[in-house]
Amino acid sequence: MLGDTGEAQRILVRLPADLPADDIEASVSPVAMVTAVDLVEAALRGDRAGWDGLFDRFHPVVYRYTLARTGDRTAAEEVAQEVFVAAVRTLPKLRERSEAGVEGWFVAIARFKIADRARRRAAEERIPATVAVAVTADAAEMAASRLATAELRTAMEDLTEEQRDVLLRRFVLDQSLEQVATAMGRRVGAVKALQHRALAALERRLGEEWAR
Amino acid sequence: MSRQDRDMDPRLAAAFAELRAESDAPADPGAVASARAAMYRAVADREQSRGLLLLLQRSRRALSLHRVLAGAAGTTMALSAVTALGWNAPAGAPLHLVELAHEQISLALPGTDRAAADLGYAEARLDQAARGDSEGEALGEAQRLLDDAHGYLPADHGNALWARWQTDSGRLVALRTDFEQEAQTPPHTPPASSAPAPAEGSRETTSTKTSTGSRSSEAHSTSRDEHESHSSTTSTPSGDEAHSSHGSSTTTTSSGHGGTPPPEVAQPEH
Repeated sequence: MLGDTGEAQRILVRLPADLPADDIEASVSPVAMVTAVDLVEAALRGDRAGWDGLFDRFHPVVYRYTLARTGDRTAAEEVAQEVFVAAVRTLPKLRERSEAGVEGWFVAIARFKIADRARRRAAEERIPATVAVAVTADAAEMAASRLATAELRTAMEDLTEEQRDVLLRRFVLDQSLEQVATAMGRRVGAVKALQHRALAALERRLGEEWAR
Repeated sequence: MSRQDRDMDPRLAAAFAELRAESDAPADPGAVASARAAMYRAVADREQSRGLLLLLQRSRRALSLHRVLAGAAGTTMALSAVTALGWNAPAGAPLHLVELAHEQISLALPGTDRAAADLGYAEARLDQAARGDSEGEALGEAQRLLDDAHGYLPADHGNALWARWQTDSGRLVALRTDFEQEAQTPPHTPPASSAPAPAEGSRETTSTKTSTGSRSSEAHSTSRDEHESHSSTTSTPSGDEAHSSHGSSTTTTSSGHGGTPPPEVAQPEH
C-alpha cells in the first residue's frame, strides 16, 4: 500500500537517497498530498509504488462508477480490473495529469469497458445492449424501493453518453462542477448546461413511467 | 447542492441517493487484490516489452542513416578504385575484365567508329605483347580485335583503316612468330640433331586454334597453293614445324588484292 514504507515516499516525491527514514516521515507530507502527476511519473518510470498509488487512489472511483452503471458487483469488479490493466498500456499517452484529469481518464476507460461488455453480452444473448446493462439481478431486487435504481439506470441508458456521465459524476461520485469540467475537458458552464438538459430528459422519461 | 440540484424532482433525487448508497459499497477485498495482481502482471509485461523496444532502438541506432551512408560511400569508393585500377589493366592482369567491359561498352555506344576503336585496342595489345607483358593473352586478344575490326572496315579499300589493319595484322604475325619461337626454345639449347620434332598432333592443334573462329581467315581463305607458298616464306630458317604451322594459319588471310600490304599479310576481300 502506498505510504506504508519510506521507500515509496522517497520514490514518489524524489527525496535524496541518503535521507534518513525519520527525516522522511518528518519532512514529507501525507501520502494523500502526493499529486497525481507524481504518481503518473513514477508509474511511467516503472516504479511499482507509482502504480500502487494510482490503484489506491482511483480504483474506488472506477469501481463506484462501474457499479452505478451496471448495478452488478461482479461485473463492476471485473471491469475495474480490466480498466487498470488497460491503463498500464495506455498511460504513456495520458496528457492531462491533474487529479481530475487522471480520474477522468480512468473513468473514460471504464466507460469504454462497460460499453464493450454490454456489446459482448448483447451479441451473446441477442438482446439490446441497453437492456443488457440495465437489467441485472441486483437491480431487480431493488424494485420494491420508492424508485428502483434499476428504473433509473434504464432511463439513464436513454441519455447521451455525456449526459449520463455528468449525472453519475455529479450525483453518484459527488464531484464538483469544476472536477467534472476538468475530467470531461469542458468548461464549467458547458457542464452546467449538460447537467440541466440531462436532468430534464431523465425527468421526462421517468415521468412517463411514474404516470402509469 | 446547486440550484439545479435543489430543483430536481424529489423522487429522482431519492433515486440518485439510493444509487449512490448502493455504489458506495466497497469492492470485495479478494477482487481488489486480484485486480492489483493483474495490474502488476501488465506492468511486468510492459517492462519486458520496453526492454525489447530499447534493444530494438539500440539496433536501429547502430544502423542509423549516417552509418548506412558511410557504408554506401565506402562501397562506392571501393568500386571506383577497382574500376580505376582495372580501366587500363593489361591482358593477363587480375582486373583485365574491367578493361574488357570498358571496351565492350565503348564499342557498343552508338556513333562509335567500330573499326577504328577495334584497331586502337588491338594496337594497344600488340604494344603490350611487344613489351613482353603477358604476350600470349595480349596476342590472342589482338587477333580477336583485328578479326572484329575487319568486319567493320569500309568498303573503300583505299581507306586509311585498311592500311592500318594490314600493318597491325603484320605486326601480329611477326610478334606471334617471335613468341612461338621463344616458347619452342628449350631452356638449355640442345644440339640441333637431338632436338625432338614436335608431334604432328600438336602442330595441327596450333593451326586449328589460330584459325578457328577467325572471320578474316574464314572469309578470305585463298587457295591451298597460296597458303603453302606463303607458309614457306614465313618459316624460320631453322625450319621449326610449329612456327611453320602458325604461319599457315595466319597466312590463310592472304590474298593478292588492294594496296601494298606487308609481305606477310595480304589484303582480305571485303
